[in-house]
Amino acid sequence: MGKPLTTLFLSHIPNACDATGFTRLEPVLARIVAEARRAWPDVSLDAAVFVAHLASQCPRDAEIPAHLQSIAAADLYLACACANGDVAAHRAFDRAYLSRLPTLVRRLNLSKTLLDDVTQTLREKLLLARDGTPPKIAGFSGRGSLLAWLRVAAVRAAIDECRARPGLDPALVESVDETAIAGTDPELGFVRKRYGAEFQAAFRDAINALTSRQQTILRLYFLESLTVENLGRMYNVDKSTVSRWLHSTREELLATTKVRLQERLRLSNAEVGSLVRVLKSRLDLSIASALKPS
Amino acid sequence: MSDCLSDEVVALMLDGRLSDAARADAERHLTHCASCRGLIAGAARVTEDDVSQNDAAAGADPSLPLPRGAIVGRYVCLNPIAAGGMGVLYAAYDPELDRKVAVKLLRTDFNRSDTAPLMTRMLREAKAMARLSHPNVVAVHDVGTVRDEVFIAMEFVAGSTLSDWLSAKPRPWREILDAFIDAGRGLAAAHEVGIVHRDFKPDNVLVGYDGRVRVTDFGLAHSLDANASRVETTVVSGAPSTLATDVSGTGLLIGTPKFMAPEQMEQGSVDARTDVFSFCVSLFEALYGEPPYGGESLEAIQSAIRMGQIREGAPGRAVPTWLRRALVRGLSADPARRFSSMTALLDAFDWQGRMERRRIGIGVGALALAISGLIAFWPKMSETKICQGAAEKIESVWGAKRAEAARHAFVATALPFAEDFWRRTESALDAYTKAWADMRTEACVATRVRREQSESLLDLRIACLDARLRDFDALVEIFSRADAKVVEKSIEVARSIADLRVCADTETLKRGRPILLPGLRAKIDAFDTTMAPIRALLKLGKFREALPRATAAIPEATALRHAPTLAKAYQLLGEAHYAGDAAKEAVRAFQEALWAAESAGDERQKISAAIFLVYVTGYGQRNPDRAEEWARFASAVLARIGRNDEVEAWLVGARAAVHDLRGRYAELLRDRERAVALFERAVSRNDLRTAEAIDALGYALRRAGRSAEAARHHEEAAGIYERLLHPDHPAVGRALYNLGFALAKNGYARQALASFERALEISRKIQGSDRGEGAWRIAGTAHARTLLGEFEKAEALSTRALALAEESYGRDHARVAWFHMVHAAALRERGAFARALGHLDHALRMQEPVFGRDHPGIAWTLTEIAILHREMGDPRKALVTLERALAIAEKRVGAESLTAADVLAEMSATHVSMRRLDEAEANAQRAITIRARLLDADHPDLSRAFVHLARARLAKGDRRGALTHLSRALASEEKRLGRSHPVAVATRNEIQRVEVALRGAGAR
Repeated sequence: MGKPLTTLFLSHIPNACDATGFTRLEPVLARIVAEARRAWPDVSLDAAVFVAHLASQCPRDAEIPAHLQSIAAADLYLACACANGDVAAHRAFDRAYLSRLPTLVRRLNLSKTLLDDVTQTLREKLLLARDGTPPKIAGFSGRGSLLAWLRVAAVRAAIDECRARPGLDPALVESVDETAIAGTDPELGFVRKRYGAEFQAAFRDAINALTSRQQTILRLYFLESLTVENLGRMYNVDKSTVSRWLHSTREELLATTKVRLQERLRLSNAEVGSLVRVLKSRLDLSIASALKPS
Repeated sequence: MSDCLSDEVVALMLDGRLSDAARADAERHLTHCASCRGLIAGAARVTEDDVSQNDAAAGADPSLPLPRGAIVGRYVCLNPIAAGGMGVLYAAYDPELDRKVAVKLLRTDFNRSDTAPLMTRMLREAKAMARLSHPNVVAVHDVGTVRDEVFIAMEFVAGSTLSDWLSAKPRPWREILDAFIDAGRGLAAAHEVGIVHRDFKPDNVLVGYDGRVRVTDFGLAHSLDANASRVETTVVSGAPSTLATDVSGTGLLIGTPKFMAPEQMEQGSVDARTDVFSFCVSLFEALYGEPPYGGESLEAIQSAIRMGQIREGAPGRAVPTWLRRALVRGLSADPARRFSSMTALLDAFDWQGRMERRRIGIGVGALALAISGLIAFWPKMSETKICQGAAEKIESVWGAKRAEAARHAFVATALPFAEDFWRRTESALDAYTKAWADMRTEACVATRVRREQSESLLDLRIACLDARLRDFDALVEIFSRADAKVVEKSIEVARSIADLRVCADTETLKRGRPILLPGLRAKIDAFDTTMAPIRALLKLGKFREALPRATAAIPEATALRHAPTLAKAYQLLGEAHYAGDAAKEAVRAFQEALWAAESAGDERQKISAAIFLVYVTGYGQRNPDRAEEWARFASAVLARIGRNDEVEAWLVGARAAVHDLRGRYAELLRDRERAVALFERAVSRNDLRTAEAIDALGYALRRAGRSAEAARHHEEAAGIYERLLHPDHPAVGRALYNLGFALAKNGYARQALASFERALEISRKIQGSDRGEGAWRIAGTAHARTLLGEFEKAEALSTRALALAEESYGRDHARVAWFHMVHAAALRERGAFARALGHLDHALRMQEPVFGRDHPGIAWTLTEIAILHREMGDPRKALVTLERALAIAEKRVGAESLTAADVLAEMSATHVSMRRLDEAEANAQRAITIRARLLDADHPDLSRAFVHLARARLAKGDRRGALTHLSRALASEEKRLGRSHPVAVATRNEIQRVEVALRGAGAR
């Protein structure tokens, strides 16, 4: 045969995977195994187990050579060893990942006790099998890094912890300051008082008329305060493109709101115009408040 | 409600690594799931932390690796490979040249006064390394600083370190020595340009899977001259185990004590002889299995060095005496007693090695063996020099002076984005020069060092690279006198030349191997030097300047009596004519190119000429039959010479153009999809060629009625252009213009308007006027305004667009027809039926001779005409016109196509006004069936079809049925178009009237 890893690999990939172009798989697999072992010399995991795991984690629609090129091999290796209950792997995971949780999520400003709880919850959830289901870390596929994956899991655990304890750290769950929206601007205050309900309704209508991408971007930007850089990274575009999206969406919102208001209030063009000028100066706040779940 | 997002999906989404479809799913979920949004927001916030950790000079945890996807300079980090005291080494991707690289990030601190000068020197030396191209040195591609960190982008070497290689298995002394000699050559090359390694050790030498030995991490270690005493104490106070590790004093690496020469340790002064010492320590340990100087502490070692107590080495290791003698000399405590340079040491090895071989040879009594030994060893002496000089050669073409001249020319155009464009162009050219030099060195190494390819193949590769250099030279020349047109195309052209793969494609090079009469090669090369500027001019769109030169080149090319050259000259002439819209002349030139290529046996050239012939005969001469023949011819040639994804992609694209001309939209779609797939495989998705194909696929999808997908494709193309070119680049404008139509067709008029306006803004920035491209974009905004019900604005805009189009193309040009139609649509909504009809008739008269009487586009014009006849009270005439339109639609697009549905809907309305109510109902039903299948539920066109059905029912007296259909239409219209949209208002009024009539009937 001469190609033991390839044979093993191919017998474990999900059926729907595109297994074309696997003729030169052997050196690739050998390199992945070697690379992973070099990264975690203390962890002992049978190459066969790892290669089988690697194969089973191949996403359904992936082209195998490209997938293997981009796989985070060392991360997947450690995850696989952890899932198999290797003690050294658990130790390594603790040392290289869990112990870094405080640094990883320091932006969340969690209290020490909360952080300890989150770490403990995560350790149990990720590393221990429960009721016959394999530990959660077995589900790590190696697309993207283990660190990024762990970070999301940690944030989720932190949010869950906060929800479970009423009154705790609300800033994490809702990150918009209500007083900023109410504001003290006299002109805006007048408009809110005079046309409050209609205005809100018109604005909400206008938002609902946007596409789901537009809505998502608005929500993440205004309500969740993601930066244009964050969004640019999510959409693989320059941050200037995100700004352009935001700008055109805002314009669109204004125009639609104007029409809706006119409809609702039967105001003259000039009246609506002055209302919209006020609105424009406070658009960002209005967007944030209209997007809030009511 | 869909499932909540998994951790993995969230992580990938934040990293921008979800597929389009998966992202759209996630977005839909996010609009209504606050908890997933919270999760994304929290995770994004903590992620932002380590992306921006570069600027947090203090406080950031330096042991935290950068996440996958983090950007360093122009590189995208993939995964950490190794970490050391001085920083982390990452595998990374270079999108500019589409290759894998290694990026070393050095954690440094520029703000500290004691280390700043050292950092500066380190940077300077790394830049010097970037100019060094040597087979035994890891190539440094790029050096820079990102905020407070220095990064070095290097060649990615698949392999292991020399220390791993040594410990993998016991090796004979000769094999070890050979590897070290190679590494020594790398050191010597660096010494020649004044760089001392300072930390040579087996960990800093890589052995590639290709067997090549390369030295890395030059000059990164520094001794702290000013603080020599402190260094010593730092080192000495260390436990014995620190002897082998990197000692890090102030975040700077000082060197590895075990391999350090005494003068480096004590005074911190280094020169080439310091590296000689470290080299000898490394080689000694490799050969003898233990370091030359023993001792439990640094002090003990230092004293052994001073006393010259060199160990005997572990027993059982056979090392020749001459080799040990050389090592002992290299290990002298006093630099003056060592070899004066690396080259001197290597010469000693070489000389000794040859003597050794000769002795063995003579020992077995065969003189022949001795000679073969000599020959086998000879090339190694000169190879270091042979493969150098590539960087200097390209620097003579692209030096600082020419770059400055080009920048001046760019800025002088006073275009608002000239500086921006220049920066991007310059970085593409820089990358190109580096890639060129690397490939030239690599070609040389493959022949002279690795002996994998023959000398004649090396000649071919060098010739190919020299030809690329001529093109590069011509391009730079034009850049240095750039005008607005050149600036506009600069980035894409600069990026397009970067593809040097053709010179690495040895199979093709061999196939094109010419057998030449003596002396001809020089003549051909000289002639090619005159053709290079023509190629550059054509690439940059300056065909007027190119045409006279291309014409003048033909007699010269004929005189050479060299068919491949003649074919190339005719090809250029054809391209110049084609760009200048001189179709007849272009056809003649391309045919000549084809015949010349035929006699030269140059199949690729034949395909290239044939592909152009498809376009010229198709678009230029409007002769789809001829065009199709050329397309089939090109396919046949390609089938003979074997598949090539990129060539096939171009060919399929040309064939698609023929389908477009004929209005065969199903075939068009199939070929466009194929072209995208082929480009994606040949280059990558993130490539200008692929982007163009994706944009064209968007058009095909829209033609096939799949406008939602079309919009996604145009958006993707625009995104690629923005990334690879510039947000204000004309290509972005084109994609956004196309996006406008896809959005409009899909019922998103407001977004369409924004897209058209942005496209208009771009063309204005570039051209400074609204002629040409601007006219189309203004017409686009008019179209969107019509859909929005802003008819007054639409009329004004379409009038202006029409005037601009006539001014740009001439009154009777076929392109102007479309402007008449847009204008007519606005006029019709304003009630100016007679004027509208006049424009449509005019449009039809322009279209029929060009497209042919049964082109699907004609069906559209006919339908518009029919609507006007009906509105003007002549339903009979309307019906006749619609029947003709339906026949075209059914025959050319399909009985179940959207084009057919458009005609059917209008037929239904016409039947109503003729009181042929059963037919009216049946046709409305058919339109609904087709549209419901192909469009989404709230699509305005589908709502219209329900209104038609309602009117047919109403005319039959079924008010309740009518009301149901109208309400169905209104609900969708309000949702998609808004309550105040004129269409929705009209439907609402219609409902009211029916309700009033119903109540009246009920009261009676």
